[in-house]
Amino acid sequence: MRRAAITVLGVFSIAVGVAGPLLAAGTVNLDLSDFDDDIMRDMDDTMKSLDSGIATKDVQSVVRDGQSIQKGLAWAQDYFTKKGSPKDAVQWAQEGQDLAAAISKATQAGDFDTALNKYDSLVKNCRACHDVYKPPDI
Amino acid sequence: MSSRVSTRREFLRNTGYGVGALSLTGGLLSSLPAAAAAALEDPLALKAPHFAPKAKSVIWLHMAGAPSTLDLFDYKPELVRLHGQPLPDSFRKGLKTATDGGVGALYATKREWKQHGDTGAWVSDLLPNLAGQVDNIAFLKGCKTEGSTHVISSLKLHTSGLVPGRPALGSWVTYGLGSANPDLPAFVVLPTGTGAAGGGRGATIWSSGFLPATYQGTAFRPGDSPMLYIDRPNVVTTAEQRNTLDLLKQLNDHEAQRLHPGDGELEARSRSYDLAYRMQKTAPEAVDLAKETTATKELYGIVDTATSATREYATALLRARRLIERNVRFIHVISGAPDNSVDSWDAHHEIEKNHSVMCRQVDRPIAGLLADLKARGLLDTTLVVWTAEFGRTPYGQTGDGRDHNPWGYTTWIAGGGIKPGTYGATDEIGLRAVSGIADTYDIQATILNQLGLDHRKLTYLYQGRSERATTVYGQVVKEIIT
Repeated sequence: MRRAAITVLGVFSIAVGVAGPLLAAGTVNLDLSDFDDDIMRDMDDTMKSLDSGIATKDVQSVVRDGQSIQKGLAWAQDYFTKKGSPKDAVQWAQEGQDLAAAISKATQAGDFDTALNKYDSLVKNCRACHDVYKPPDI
Repeated sequence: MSSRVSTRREFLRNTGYGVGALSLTGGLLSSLPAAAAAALEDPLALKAPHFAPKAKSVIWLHMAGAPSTLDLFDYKPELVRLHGQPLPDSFRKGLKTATDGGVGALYATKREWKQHGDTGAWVSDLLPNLAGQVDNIAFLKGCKTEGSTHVISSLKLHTSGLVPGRPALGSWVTYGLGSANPDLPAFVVLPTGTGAAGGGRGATIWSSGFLPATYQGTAFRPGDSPMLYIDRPNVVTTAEQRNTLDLLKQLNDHEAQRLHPGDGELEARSRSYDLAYRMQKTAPEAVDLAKETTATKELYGIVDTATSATREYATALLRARRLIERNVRFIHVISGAPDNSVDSWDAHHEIEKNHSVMCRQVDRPIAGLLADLKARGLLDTTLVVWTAEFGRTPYGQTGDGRDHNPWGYTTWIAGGGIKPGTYGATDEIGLRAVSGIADTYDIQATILNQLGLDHRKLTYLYQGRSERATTVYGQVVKEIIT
């Protein structure tokens, strides 16, 4: 687990450059040293599997991966809520869960184009949050 | 044995559908094991794109070593004003800025700047010829990537992976569209100059990775004979060589079908023999500049002795144009240093000297290439991409150099349905991208889009997982598309 403390600037939301809730102006100090990075790594791998499942139209796999993503993001949402984080983190986690659910639903309905579009939105959602809360690995 | 080959071909012909295209759309073949799919199709057969393309080919100009776009395209008056001061905290928050040699004081560009053309694009005096071409170019000034070493970031730029093993974009393009000229490689690499560029210009950046080996880039050498051992030995007659190759093909086909069905490596080797035979005639002709006019050579900077530093790079670009005319899909030109005075664009020190040498080498040839392509009506269908593994920092290093900057830099694209102009921006000092942010995944997605390929649907099944060029990422930069 990575132990890191980062300072989040309100102006970062400008740098994100994607649709999403804006941070309030000013500086917010957030200690993420107890954040469980293993869950995020698992989700990163699950996202690849989810992408593959949609491409190969493997409904069972998509539903399983979608549930994993929802579970991981529910944990993140709970974490950020308890941290008293800015609303954006909580909101991104909630939107991510909604998108994962929508992917499963579309796949089960045989609508893989919609599933793929929702997947794109989910990736954007992940990146928007990471741009703010995950410092670049250099 | 030969009848089995014939049957396979007949099958492909008689079925009458684009087997390859199906594999692109996640259809029949993508659900088969990769090896079985490879055995069914001619991996280099022409394949239908996903939608109508704007471009047919790509010339990818890789500035290995990473130029400072702060000294070429990204004019920052605020950086000039803050020259010599420490990097303000307001700019560095959240970034791990110590990559190589620590963070020096802010270092202003010493160049003179002007806006050029109808688009008003900023270009420094280091690139006077390219400045005349800005109205053909879309500058993406909000580029960013990951990593801070040449090897890692070069891999990401070309393969979307941070470690070796993934296919280069040229390989994906060849896989997606097939070869439009069976007598030349579809993916050609033209390395130029000397220097290692921090190790970021090795063969892994044109590897086919987990795609069949037949999609890998083919490196051309300078000189009349672009490939080693391509020439038929004098002691062997044409008939002898043909007979030998026919026998070799029969043996390889037999082995492939009996012991190694679907072995992409063996199939690629077998095809390479056939391609090499055909290329004994086609490859030297493709790179032979004898029929090019003096005016054309001068345009690229080949014959002017006063600018001999441009000769090798200019020759590579003129060859690239000739390869485009011969329907080669993807030409990857890698810049090196023209002499031993610098190593590459990697200016950790003496950036003024470094960029004078490197810019002098590429400025006139690249401007000549764009002008030549346009004059011949080829720019409309050819994407010219100018990029590097990252940019360079606004803070100085060693007193007169700049460090690596993956957070904000400029890439530009011309031709092939791209709308000229300036898109995106870095912050006031050029440290990180703040608007119109384009990651390397997005650049790749955009290029594939212009070639008629949906990066989300160009997939290949590898180890049970459907893989794509841009991994799970990639958004087409729609703002730069006509």
